Amino acid sequence: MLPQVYEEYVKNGKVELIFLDLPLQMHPRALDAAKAAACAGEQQKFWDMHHQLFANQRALAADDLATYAKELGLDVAAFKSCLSSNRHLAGIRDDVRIVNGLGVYGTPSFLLGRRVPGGDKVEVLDIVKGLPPYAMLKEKLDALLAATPPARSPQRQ
Amino acid sequence: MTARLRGISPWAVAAGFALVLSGSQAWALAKKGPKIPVGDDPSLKEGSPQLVLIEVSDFQ
Repeated sequence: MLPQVYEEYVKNGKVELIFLDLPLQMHPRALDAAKAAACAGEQQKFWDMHHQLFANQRALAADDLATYAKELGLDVAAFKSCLSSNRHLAGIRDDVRIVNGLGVYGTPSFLLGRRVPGGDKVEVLDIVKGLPPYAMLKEKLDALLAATPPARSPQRQ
Repeated sequence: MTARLRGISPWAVAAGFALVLSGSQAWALAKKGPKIPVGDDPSLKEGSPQLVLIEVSDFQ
Protein backbone atom coordinates (compact mmCIF):
# COMPACT_ATOMS: atom_id res chain seq x y z
CA MET A 1 0.00 0.00 0.00
CA LEU A 2 2.76 2.48 0.82
CA PRO A 3 4.22 2.29 -2.69
CA GLN A 4 0.79 3.42 -3.95
CA VAL A 5 0.75 6.26 -1.42
CA TYR A 6 4.25 7.25 -2.53
CA GLU A 7 3.34 7.26 -6.20
CA GLU A 8 0.05 9.10 -5.81
CA TYR A 9 0.67 11.49 -2.93
CA VAL A 10 4.30 11.76 -1.81
CA LYS A 11 6.07 12.04 -5.16
CA ASN A 12 3.91 14.95 -6.24
CA GLY A 13 4.30 16.86 -3.00
CA LYS A 14 0.82 16.39 -1.54
CA VAL A 15 1.68 14.24 1.45
CA GLU A 16 4.71 13.84 3.68
CA LEU A 17 5.36 10.30 4.89
CA ILE A 18 6.78 9.83 8.38
CA PHE A 19 7.63 6.63 10.20
CA LEU A 20 7.16 6.01 13.91
CA ASP A 21 8.40 2.86 15.61
CA LEU A 22 6.10 0.58 17.55
CA PRO A 23 8.05 -2.64 18.09
CA LEU A 24 5.61 -5.06 19.69
CA GLN A 25 6.76 -7.24 22.56
CA MET A 26 5.24 -10.28 20.86
CA HIS A 27 7.75 -9.78 18.03
CA PRO A 28 11.14 -10.65 19.51
CA ARG A 29 13.18 -9.30 16.58
CA ALA A 30 11.20 -6.09 16.14
CA LEU A 31 13.29 -3.94 18.46
CA ASP A 32 16.58 -4.93 16.82
CA ALA A 33 15.00 -4.30 13.42
CA ALA A 34 13.87 -0.85 14.53
CA LYS A 35 17.41 -0.09 15.70
CA ALA A 36 18.78 -1.35 12.39
CA ALA A 37 16.52 1.02 10.46
CA ALA A 38 17.55 3.93 12.67
CA CYS A 39 21.24 3.05 12.23
CA ALA A 40 20.75 2.87 8.47
CA GLY A 41 19.20 6.31 8.77
CA GLU A 42 22.51 7.63 10.09
CA GLN A 43 23.87 6.80 6.65
CA GLN A 44 20.83 8.26 4.83
CA LYS A 45 19.42 4.81 4.08
CA PHE A 46 16.48 4.59 6.46
CA TRP A 47 13.85 4.07 3.76
CA ASP A 48 15.98 1.56 1.88
CA MET A 49 16.41 -0.44 5.07
CA HIS A 50 12.69 0.02 5.82
CA HIS A 51 11.84 -1.66 2.51
CA GLN A 52 14.47 -4.34 3.02
CA LEU A 53 13.19 -5.24 6.47
CA PHE A 54 9.56 -5.42 5.38
CA ALA A 55 10.57 -7.61 2.47
CA ASN A 56 12.35 -9.98 4.86
CA GLN A 57 10.20 -10.02 7.97
CA ARG A 58 11.09 -13.63 8.75
CA ALA A 59 14.82 -13.05 8.59
CA LEU A 60 15.75 -10.41 11.14
CA ALA A 61 18.59 -12.02 13.09
CA ALA A 62 21.75 -10.01 13.70
CA ASP A 63 23.53 -11.64 10.76
CA ASP A 64 20.59 -10.88 8.49
CA LEU A 65 20.63 -7.21 9.49
CA ALA A 66 24.34 -6.98 8.73
CA THR A 67 23.74 -8.65 5.37
CA TYR A 68 21.08 -6.07 4.48
CA ALA A 69 23.42 -3.28 5.53
CA LYS A 70 26.05 -4.66 3.18
CA GLU A 71 23.56 -5.09 0.34
CA LEU A 72 22.48 -1.46 0.75
CA GLY A 73 26.07 -0.29 0.55
CA LEU A 74 26.32 0.88 4.13
CA ASP A 75 29.52 1.14 6.10
CA VAL A 76 28.90 -2.16 7.87
CA ALA A 77 31.39 -1.56 10.69
CA ALA A 78 29.73 1.76 11.51
CA PHE A 79 26.32 0.12 11.23
CA LYS A 80 27.27 -2.65 13.66
CA SER A 81 28.83 -0.17 16.03
CA CYS A 82 25.63 1.85 15.96
CA LEU A 83 23.54 -1.25 16.66
CA SER A 84 25.62 -2.33 19.63
CA SER A 85 25.66 1.19 21.07
CA ASN A 86 21.89 1.18 21.55
CA ARG A 87 21.93 4.91 20.93
CA HIS A 88 18.58 4.86 19.13
CA LEU A 89 16.81 2.93 21.86
CA ALA A 90 15.60 6.04 23.67
CA GLY A 91 14.16 7.48 20.46
CA ILE A 92 12.34 4.24 19.71
CA ARG A 93 10.90 4.19 23.23
CA ASP A 94 9.82 7.80 22.79
CA ASP A 95 7.90 6.78 19.66
CA VAL A 96 6.20 3.98 21.57
CA ARG A 97 5.19 6.35 24.38
CA ILE A 98 3.84 8.88 21.89
CA VAL A 99 1.71 6.46 19.90
CA ASN A 100 0.49 4.66 23.02
CA GLY A 101 -0.59 8.10 24.26
CA LEU A 102 -2.88 8.27 21.22
CA GLY A 103 -4.42 4.91 22.08
CA VAL A 104 -2.44 3.10 19.40
CA TYR A 105 -1.08 -0.25 20.55
CA GLY A 106 -1.11 -2.35 17.40
CA THR A 107 0.67 -2.39 14.06
CA PRO A 108 0.34 -1.26 11.48
CA SER A 109 -1.54 1.91 12.23
CA PHE A 110 -1.68 5.19 10.35
CA LEU A 111 -1.98 8.75 11.62
CA LEU A 112 -3.23 11.44 9.27
CA GLY A 113 -2.47 15.02 10.14
CA ARG A 114 -0.76 18.25 9.27
CA ARG A 115 2.42 19.95 10.36
CA VAL A 116 2.02 22.60 13.03
CA PRO A 117 3.46 25.78 11.45
CA GLY A 118 6.93 26.67 12.62
CA GLY A 119 7.57 23.53 14.59
CA ASP A 120 8.45 19.89 14.60
CA LYS A 121 5.00 18.74 15.60
CA VAL A 122 2.15 17.16 13.73
CA GLU A 123 -1.48 17.71 14.62
CA VAL A 124 -3.18 14.33 14.33
CA LEU A 125 -6.57 14.58 12.63
CA ASP A 126 -7.43 10.94 12.09
CA ILE A 127 -6.18 7.55 13.23
CA VAL A 128 -6.53 4.34 11.26
CA LYS A 129 -5.81 1.19 13.23
CA GLY A 130 -4.84 -1.89 11.26
CA LEU A 131 -4.03 -2.16 7.58
CA PRO A 132 -6.83 -0.41 5.68
CA PRO A 133 -7.76 -1.13 2.07
CA TYR A 134 -5.94 1.40 -0.08
CA ALA A 135 -9.27 2.82 -1.27
CA MET A 136 -10.20 3.71 2.31
CA LEU A 137 -6.92 5.47 2.99
CA LYS A 138 -7.18 7.28 -0.34
CA GLU A 139 -10.67 8.47 0.51
CA LYS A 140 -9.48 9.89 3.81
CA LEU A 141 -6.43 11.56 2.26
CA ASP A 142 -8.48 13.07 -0.56
CA ALA A 143 -11.09 14.42 1.85
CA LEU A 144 -8.45 16.06 4.04
CA LEU A 145 -6.56 17.42 1.03
CA ALA A 146 -9.77 18.96 -0.34
CA ALA A 147 -10.33 20.72 2.95
CA THR A 148 -6.74 21.80 3.57
CA PRO A 149 -5.20 24.94 2.08
CA PRO A 150 -1.85 24.38 0.32
CA ALA A 151 1.21 24.88 2.48
CA ARG A 152 2.75 28.31 1.94
CA SER A 153 6.25 28.06 3.31
CA PRO A 154 8.97 25.47 2.83
CA GLN A 155 9.31 22.99 5.64
CA ARG A 156 12.31 21.32 7.13
CA GLN A 157 13.37 18.11 5.39
CA MET B 1 -43.33 18.98 11.25
CA THR B 2 -44.40 18.02 7.75
CA ALA B 3 -46.55 21.10 7.49
CA ARG B 4 -43.59 23.28 8.40
CA LEU B 5 -41.28 21.66 5.84
CA ARG B 6 -43.77 22.32 3.07
CA GLY B 7 -43.00 25.99 3.37
CA ILE B 8 -39.25 25.55 2.86
CA SER B 9 -37.78 26.16 -0.57
CA PRO B 10 -36.16 23.07 -2.20
CA TRP B 11 -33.12 25.28 -2.83
CA ALA B 12 -32.76 25.88 0.88
CA VAL B 13 -32.95 22.14 1.53
CA ALA B 14 -30.31 21.49 -1.16
CA ALA B 15 -28.06 24.18 0.31
CA GLY B 16 -28.46 22.58 3.71
CA PHE B 17 -27.39 19.20 2.38
CA ALA B 18 -24.40 20.78 0.64
CA LEU B 19 -23.34 22.43 3.88
CA VAL B 20 -23.60 19.17 5.78
CA LEU B 21 -21.55 17.30 3.16
CA SER B 22 -18.81 19.89 2.93
CA GLY B 23 -18.87 20.20 6.69
CA SER B 24 -17.92 16.55 7.12
CA GLN B 25 -14.55 17.31 5.48
CA ALA B 26 -14.10 20.63 7.19
CA TRP B 27 -14.99 19.12 10.54
CA ALA B 28 -11.86 17.00 10.60
CA LEU B 29 -9.78 20.13 10.11
CA ALA B 30 -11.78 22.37 12.38
CA LYS B 31 -11.44 20.07 15.35
CA LYS B 32 -8.28 20.31 17.42
CA GLY B 33 -6.28 17.12 17.22
CA PRO B 34 -3.51 16.05 19.58
CA LYS B 35 -0.07 17.34 18.64
CA ILE B 36 2.87 14.94 18.62
CA PRO B 37 6.59 15.66 18.16
CA VAL B 38 8.16 14.20 15.00
CA GLY B 39 11.37 16.20 14.88
CA ASP B 40 13.87 13.37 14.59
CA ASP B 41 11.68 10.80 12.90
CA PRO B 42 12.36 9.64 9.35
CA SER B 43 10.49 11.67 6.78
CA LEU B 44 9.94 11.39 3.05
CA LYS B 45 8.57 14.35 1.14
CA GLU B 46 8.78 16.58 -1.89
CA GLY B 47 8.27 20.31 -1.57
CA SER B 48 5.84 21.53 1.08
CA PRO B 49 3.09 18.93 1.42
CA GLN B 50 -0.32 19.83 2.81
CA LEU B 51 -0.73 16.67 4.84
CA VAL B 52 1.29 14.18 6.81
CA LEU B 53 0.75 10.43 6.82
CA ILE B 54 2.51 8.67 9.67
CA GLU B 55 3.12 4.96 9.39
CA VAL B 56 3.25 3.36 12.84
CA SER B 57 4.76 -0.07 12.59
CA ASP B 58 7.34 -2.59 13.55
CA PHE B 59 9.29 -4.62 11.06
CA GLN B 60 8.45 -8.14 12.15
